[in-house]
Amino acid sequence: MASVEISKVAKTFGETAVLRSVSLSIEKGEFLTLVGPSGCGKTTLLRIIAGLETQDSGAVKIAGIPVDHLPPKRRDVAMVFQNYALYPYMTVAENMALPLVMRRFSALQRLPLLGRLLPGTTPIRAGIDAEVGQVARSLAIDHLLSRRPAQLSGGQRQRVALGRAMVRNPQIFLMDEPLSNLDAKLRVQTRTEIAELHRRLGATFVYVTHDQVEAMTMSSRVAVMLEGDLHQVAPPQEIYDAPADLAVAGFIGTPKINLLPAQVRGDGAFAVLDRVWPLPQVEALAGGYTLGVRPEAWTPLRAGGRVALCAMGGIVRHIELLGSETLVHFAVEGLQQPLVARVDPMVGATLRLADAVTFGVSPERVHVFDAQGRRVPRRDALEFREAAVG
Amino acid sequence: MADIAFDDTRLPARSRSYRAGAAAELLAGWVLSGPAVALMWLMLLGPAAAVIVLSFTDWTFGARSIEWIGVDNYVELAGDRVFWTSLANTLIYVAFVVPVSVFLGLGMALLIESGNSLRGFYRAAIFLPVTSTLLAMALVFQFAFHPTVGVINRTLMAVGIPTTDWLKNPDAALFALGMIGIWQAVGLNMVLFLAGLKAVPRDLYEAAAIDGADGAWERFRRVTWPMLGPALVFVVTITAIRSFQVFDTVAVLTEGGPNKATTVLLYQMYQEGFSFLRSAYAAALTCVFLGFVLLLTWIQVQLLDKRTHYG
Repeated sequence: MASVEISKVAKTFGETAVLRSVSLSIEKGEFLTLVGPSGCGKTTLLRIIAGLETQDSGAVKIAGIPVDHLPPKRRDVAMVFQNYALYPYMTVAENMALPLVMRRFSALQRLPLLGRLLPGTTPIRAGIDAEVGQVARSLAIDHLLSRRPAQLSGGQRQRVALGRAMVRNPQIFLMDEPLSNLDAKLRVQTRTEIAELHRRLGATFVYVTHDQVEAMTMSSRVAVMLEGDLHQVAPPQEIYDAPADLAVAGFIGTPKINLLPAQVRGDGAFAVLDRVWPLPQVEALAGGYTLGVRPEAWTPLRAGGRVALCAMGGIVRHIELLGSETLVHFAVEGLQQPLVARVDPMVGATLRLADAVTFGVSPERVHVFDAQGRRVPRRDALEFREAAVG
Repeated sequence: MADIAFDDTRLPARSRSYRAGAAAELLAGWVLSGPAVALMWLMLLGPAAAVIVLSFTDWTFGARSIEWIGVDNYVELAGDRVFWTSLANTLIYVAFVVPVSVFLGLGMALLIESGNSLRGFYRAAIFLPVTSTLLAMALVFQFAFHPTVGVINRTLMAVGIPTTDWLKNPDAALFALGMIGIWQAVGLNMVLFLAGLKAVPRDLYEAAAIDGADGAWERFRRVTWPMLGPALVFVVTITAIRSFQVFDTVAVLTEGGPNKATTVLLYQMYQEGFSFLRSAYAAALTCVFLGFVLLLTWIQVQLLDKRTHYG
C-alpha cells in the first residue's frame, strides 16, 4: 500500500503531445481509475508510473520517494497487461512464480541446473511454491497450475495475470484495460471480483479503461483524461453529477447528456430556444452558455398537469425499448440533434412516433457550462471546486 | 470427398442419387488431382525410388547388362574404409558447422536487433555470402588460405600465431572447409532469427521487466530464447541438412584430400558415380546419405519440438 504522486508529467511521441503536464495524487489504498477514449494518454501515464516509459518532464513519487530514475522492478509495482502478457512457454505455476524467483534467488541460484545444487535453494523454492499455491487457491485457479496459457480460456488467463501480480504483494497494482479481452458476461463478473480483490488486499490500484461503466462501478475515484489532459478527478458519482466541463459531461453517461444552447438575459434567467428557464442556483453574467440535461432528468409533462419551471417540447422521433427503461428521442425545433429522455417503460408505452411531447426538468438538475465549456459553480456552495483539475 | 458423400447415403430419401453423385465426385477428384499426383511421382518420388532400386543392382553407367545383387553393395559399403572416413568427416563437419553458425547467426541477429544504426547495412552485408555462388567464392578462399601470401596466414603471422597450410594439412583442412561453410550459413540463420525476434511480443519484455527479469541475460533466458524456439528448430534443421550436403568447397579446394581428410559423403558419391561410373554403388551411398539426413533431422525435431512452444 502506497501513495502515488504525479506532478507535471509531460510526454511527447514525435510531434504528438500525449501528456500535457499532468498532475495527480493517488492516495494509499485507493482504487483510482484513469478513464478516457483511446489515444488520450491514459495508458502512457500508467506506463510512466510503472517505469516502462520515461516522461519528458515532471516527476513521479511512490510512497513519497521519487522513482523517476528507478527501473520497474525497483518500484514495487505489479502490472496486469491488456493481453495479459503471460509467458506462453511457462506453466501457470512458473508464470506466477517468476516475480518471486527473480526476487528471492540470487543470480547464482537462478542459473539453470547448477542453481538447484546450491545450498539454500530448496527451502526458498518450497516457500515460493507454497505462496503461488495460496494465491492460486484464492483466485480458484489452483487446478490449472500445471497448464500452459494456450490451454486456458480468456477468463482463466486473466486470473493468472492477476495472480502473477498478486504473489509479490506489491505496493501498487497497475492494470491496463484488463477486462477488454473478455466477453461481456465475464466482464461484469470479473468487475465485481476485481473490486472485491481491492477490498481484500487493501493495496493501491491504478486502473486504466476506456469503459465508463468499469470506471463508475469499481473506483473510489475516477480521473477523466481527454487528449492528454486530466479534466476531472473525483468520486464516480460526483463525476456524473457535477462534471467539471462539457468534455467530461459528454464523455461520462450513456446515453450522452443533452446539450442546449442558452443565453443569459438581463434578469439572470436563461433563454433556451424559445423558452425561458429560471436557474436560480447559478449566478451568471450575460453571455452564451451551454446547458446540460441528463436523459433521466427529464420527466414527461401531461397537458393540464403539473407545470414545470424548465420545459422543452418536441416531436417523438424514435423510441428505444431497453426493458428496464425506455429512451425517447424527441426533436425540438431549433436543435439539429433530437434530445433523449430516459423514462419508465410504463410511460414509454403510452408514446407513439410523431406524438407531440413536453418534458420538464427541475432547475437544480440542469448543468450550466460557460462559453469555455467550464462548469458554472452553484451559488449555494463552492461545489467540488477543489476537486476540479485543469 | 468420398467420406462426406458416404455419410449422406444414410439419409433415407434420395440416397441413390447421392451415391451416383459420390462416384462422380470421386472420379472428378482423381481427374483433377491426377496431373499433380503424376508429376509428383515423376519428379520427386520416382527418382528417389529409382535410386533405391538401383542400389540393389550391379549396374555401372553405360553397361549393357544389369543384375539384381541384393544387399551386396551395402555389404561392400560396410567394409569400405573410404566410406567410414567420409561418413566420419561429414559428421565432424556437421557437428562443427551447425552449432557455430547457429549461435553466430543468433548473436548477430541479437546485435542487429538491439542497435538502431546501420541495421540495413549489417543485414545486407551478413546476408551477402548466402547469395554468392560458393564455387566462385571458393576462389577467394583458395587465395585467402594460401600458405604464404594468403590474408589469413599473413594476419596470423602478424599477431604471432603459428600458421599452417590450411588446405594441405590433414588436421586443418576439414576445419578450414568448415569455416567456409559457417561463413556461408551465418547470413541465412541471422535472417531467420531476425524474423523470429520480430515476432516476440514487446509486452513480454515489459512483463519481465516488472517481474524483475530486466538484465540482458535474464531477458534473453526468460523471454527471447524460449520465444525463438520455433525459429531455432527450423534454423538447426535447415543448417544441418545443408551442412550434410557439403560438396562444392571439397570438390574445388581439396578434392577430398589431403589423404582423404576432407572426403565427405557427397564427394565420395560423386567420385563413385561420375568418376568411376559405379552407379549402383553410388546409389547405395545415396541411400545411406538420405537415411542419415532423415534420421538426424527426425532426432533434432523430436528433441527440440518437445521443448518448443509454438505461438
